Amino acid sequence: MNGGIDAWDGLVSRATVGQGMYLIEGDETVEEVMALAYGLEEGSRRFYQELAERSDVPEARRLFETLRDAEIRHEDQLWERYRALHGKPGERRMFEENIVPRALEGGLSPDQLLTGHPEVVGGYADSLDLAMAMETDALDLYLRMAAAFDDAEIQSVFFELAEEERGHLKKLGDLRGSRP
Amino acid sequence: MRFMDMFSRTKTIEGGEARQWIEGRPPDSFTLLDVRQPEEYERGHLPGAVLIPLPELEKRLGEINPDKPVLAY
Repeated sequence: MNGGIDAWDGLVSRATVGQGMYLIEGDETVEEVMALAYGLEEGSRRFYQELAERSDVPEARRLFETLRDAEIRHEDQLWERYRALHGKPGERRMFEENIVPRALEGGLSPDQLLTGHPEVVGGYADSLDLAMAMETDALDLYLRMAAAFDDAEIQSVFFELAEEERGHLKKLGDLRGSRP
Repeated sequence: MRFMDMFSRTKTIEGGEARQWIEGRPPDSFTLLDVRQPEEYERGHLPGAVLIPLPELEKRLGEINPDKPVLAY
């Protein structure tokens, strides 16, 4: 790309080189990877729920609730895929009980993110910017995790989630573009 | 450099074209390569970009899938 990063007019991730990557060793099974991804989605779901509860701005609250609901859909998709591999009906509760959300999709803990972004309960524009930053880091993490594995099925888990994040970013970008 | 590498084609594209190129492809169909230093990468990088600083590129070429196009910056 001519001009390097300075020529880029799209979103950038500010994740560190190792951010989030500590969550994987590179030798996980596909089931372990799906549980990890489920945990990341759950971490983000809880975070967006908290943001929605903290926000005094109705538009921002609805935005966070929409993002929270998107994470729930991702969890449903992951569970269906996990169940199609080898699960039995009724095991989702056990599956969820064994997952500890250690990080959000961007690789940071909820406390880390809230501490770094006191503006989170601010206006709608600030909330949009925060959500876009989070989703960009999530896209970044999923793509880097995919690259850490050679197994095509594991890669597909992360690539599909990355594609979902790209869709979120497109919608958030459209919303942001319509605001001053 | 291998002899046949002398005949490989490298194209330079502008930032806007790069963005369209990336957004028009599934994320698993190409590699984004960042050849800067870690501190530059952490100040901002294209989502999903793999970091291989330029001085290390030759010995780490094996980390790049040769079957996919690479967009480097």
